[in-house]
Amino acid sequence: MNPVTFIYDWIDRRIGLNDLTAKYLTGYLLPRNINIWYSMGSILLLIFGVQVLTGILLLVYYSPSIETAFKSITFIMNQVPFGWLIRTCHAVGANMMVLFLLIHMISVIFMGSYKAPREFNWLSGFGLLNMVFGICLTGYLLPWSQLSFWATTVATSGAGSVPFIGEYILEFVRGGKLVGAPTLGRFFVLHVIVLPAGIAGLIGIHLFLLQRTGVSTPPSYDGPVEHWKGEQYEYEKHPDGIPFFPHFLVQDLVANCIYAIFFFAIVFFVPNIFFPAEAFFPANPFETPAHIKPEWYFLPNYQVLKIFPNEFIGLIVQGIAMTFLAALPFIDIWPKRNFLKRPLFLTCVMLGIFTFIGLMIWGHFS
Amino acid sequence: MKKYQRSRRLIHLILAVLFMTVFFTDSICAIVCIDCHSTQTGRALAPVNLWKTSIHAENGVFCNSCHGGDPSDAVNAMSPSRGFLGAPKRADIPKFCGKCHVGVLENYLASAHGKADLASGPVCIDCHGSHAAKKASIEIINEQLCSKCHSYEGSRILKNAFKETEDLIDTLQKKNSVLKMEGFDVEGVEKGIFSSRNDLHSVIHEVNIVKVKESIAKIKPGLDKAEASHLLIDREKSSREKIGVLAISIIFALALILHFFRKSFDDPENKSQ
Amino acid sequence: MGVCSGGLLTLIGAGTVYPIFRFLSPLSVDSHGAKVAISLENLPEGEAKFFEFQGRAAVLIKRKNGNLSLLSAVCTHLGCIVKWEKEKEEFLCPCHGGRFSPDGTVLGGPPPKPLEQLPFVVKDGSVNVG
Repeated sequence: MNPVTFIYDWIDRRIGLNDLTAKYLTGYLLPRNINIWYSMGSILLLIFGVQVLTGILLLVYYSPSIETAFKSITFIMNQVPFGWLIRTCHAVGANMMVLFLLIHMISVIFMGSYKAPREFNWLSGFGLLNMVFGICLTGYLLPWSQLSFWATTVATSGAGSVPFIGEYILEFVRGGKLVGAPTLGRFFVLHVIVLPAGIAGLIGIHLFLLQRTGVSTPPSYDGPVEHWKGEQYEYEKHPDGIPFFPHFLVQDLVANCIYAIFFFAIVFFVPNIFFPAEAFFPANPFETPAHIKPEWYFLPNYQVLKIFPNEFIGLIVQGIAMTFLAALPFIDIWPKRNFLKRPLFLTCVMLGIFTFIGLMIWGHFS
Repeated sequence: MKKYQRSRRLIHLILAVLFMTVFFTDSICAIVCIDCHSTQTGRALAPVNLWKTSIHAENGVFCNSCHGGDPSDAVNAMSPSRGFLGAPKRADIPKFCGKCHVGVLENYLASAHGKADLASGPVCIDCHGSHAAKKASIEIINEQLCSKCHSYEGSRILKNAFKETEDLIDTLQKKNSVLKMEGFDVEGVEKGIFSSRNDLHSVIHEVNIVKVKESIAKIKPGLDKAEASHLLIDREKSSREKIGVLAISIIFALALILHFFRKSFDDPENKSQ
Repeated sequence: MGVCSGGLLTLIGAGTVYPIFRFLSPLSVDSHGAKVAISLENLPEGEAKFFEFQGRAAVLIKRKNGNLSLLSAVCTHLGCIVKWEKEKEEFLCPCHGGRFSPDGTVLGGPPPKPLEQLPFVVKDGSVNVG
C-alpha cells in the first residue's frame, strides 16, 4: 500500500477525515450562481493574514517610545533588508483592509444578504468595521511622524466636544491633555494586542455564523428558493449548488490573485500613494503642518464635523448614521431582496454612497 | 469643557500679548523713522520707499539696525548720543554692512575688490545697491555692472564657474527632497549639500579665478558623494520595480491557470445556462 | 497544469520566505563596531577597559608596568564575560572560577583554551582595533 494513503487511512479511522471533507469541503454546497462579490470575505481574510504577518515582523525592529519610534521606522525602511517591503505592505494593506471592508459591506447591501435570519452576521461585520477603523487609527500614530502626531491630534479632538465629560474622555483617550508619550503607549497596546485579538475573535464569530445560516442565495438566482419562515432554525441549503472544494475554493483563489496583483501594483509602483510629505518628518508638538488631513476613510467624518457649527452636533449626526447602518436589518424588514425590483431602496443606497463619497471629496479639498 | 476653553483662551491671550510686544517694539522703530521721513521729499524720502522693497524689510531689518539711533523717541531719534550713525562715508561702507555680514566682509576684504583703493575699487553698494538691496543672486555678476570698471571677459568666466556649481547644488537639493518624501534616509546627504552651498557662498566675493576654481574643486568631492548616494538610491528603486514586475507576473500566471482549472469543472449542463 | 501551478506555488512560497528570512537575518557586523579606537588617556595603569568589538566583548588592559594587552573577554569555558582583578593582575571568570593571566594564558579552573588575543595598533595616544 502507498505509504501516504496508509498514513491518511490510519488518521481517518481515528478522527474521521473523510467525514470532515464530505461535510465541509466537497459536500458543502454553495449557490450555483455565486459571484465575485462573494469572494470579498476571503480577500479580507488574506489581507488580515498579511497584516498579522507583516505586523509581527515589524515588531522585531519597531521601538514604541517617542524618542526611538521614528528612528526605528527609518531604520526599517532604509537599513533592514526588505524592511521597505514589509513596511509598505503593512501600510498599503491597512488601506486595502478598509477599502475591501467597504466593498464587502456595499455588496452585502446590494445582495440583500443582511436580511433575516442574518442579523447577527451583519452586526458582527459592523463590529469588525469599527474595530478595523480603530486599528487603523491607532496604527497611524506609531511611526511618530508629523503626520502621525497631528492626524491623531485632529482625530481625537472630536471627543472633547461631548458636553460635560468631553474633556475627561479626551484626556482619557490621549492619556494626557495633549498627544504625547502616554498616547503612544496606549495606542501601541491597542494596535498590537487588543484590537488584533478582538478582530481575530470577531472574524471567528462571523465565520461561525456564516456556517450556521448557510451562504445566502444571490438575488439573480432563477431556481426555486425556500425563504426562511422564521418559525425555527433552518440552514439555507443549496441542493443543486457547486461544492466549496474544489469549485469555489479555486474561484476564491482567482479572486485572491487578482487582489494580490492590485495590491502589489501599489506596493511596488506607487508605494507613496498613502504617504503625504509629513510622514517623513519626525513629530514636532510645537509645529503644526499646514493642511493636515486625516486618512481618506476618515475624511467624511472630518467633513461632517466641519459642516456643523457645533462639533457635538456633528458627532451626534455621525452617531445616528452609524446606528442606522448597524440597525439596517431591523429597519429594512421586507423579504424582497432583488435591488433592481426595489426602486426606493436603490435610491436610498445610492444616495448614501454618493453622500459618503461626496463628503470624502469635499473633505479632501476643503 | 468651559474650563478647558478658558485656559486655552488664556494661553492664546498671553501668546498674543507676547507677540504684540515683540512686534510693536520693532514696528515702533520703523514708525518713528518712517513716519517722519515719509512726510519729507526728495533725498530724505527716497530711502523709505526703496527700503520697503528690500530683502531687509522682508526680514524685519529696520533703519536703526544699520544707521543706529533711537527709533522709539522722535525728538532724539537722530542724536549721536543715542548711537545715530547717519549715512556712512564711502570708505566706511564695507564695515557698515559687515556689522551683520561678518563672513562676507572677511571674504571681500581679502579679494581684489576689497584690496583695491576706494576710488577705483567697488564697495558693497556698487553691486548690491543700498536701500533697495535684494536677495543676492549670481546674476549680480553681469556685463553692465562689471564693465563699469573693467572688461567683462574675466567676470564671465567667474560667473560661469559659480553658476555651474550653484546649479548643480540646486539640482541635487531638489532631487534630495524628492527622495526624502519617498521615505529614503537622506538626512546625511542633505547636510552635505547644505554645507557645500555654504562653502560656495563663503568664497563668492573672491574674484581671482584661480582661487575660485581651487575652492570649487574642494567643494566638488562632497557634491560627487551626494550624487553617488542618489545614484545608489535610483538603482535600488529600479531593482524594486523589477521585483514588482516579477511578483505580479508570477501571480498573474497563477491566476490564469487557476481560472482555466475552474472552467474545466463546469459540466455541459452548466455551460448551457 | 499541475506541474505549472506547483512550480508557481513554489516560486510564491520562496518569494515570501526569502524576504522574511533576509529581514530577520542579523545585520552585517561591518556596520557596527567594525573599528574601535580607545583613548589611552582615560585608562590608568592597572585598569581594564571593556568594550564591544564586532559584536563581541573585548577588553584592553594596561598593566602596572605599562604593557598593553588586548583580549577577547569571552571565557573559553562556557562563554561568560571574564572580570579583571586589579590587585592580582589576572582575569577571573565569575561563572566557574576560570583564571587567566593578562596575556590570556589559563592559570587555573576549567577553561580549555587561553583567551584570544586581538591585534591592535597604538597611534596618537589611542589603541586602534580592527
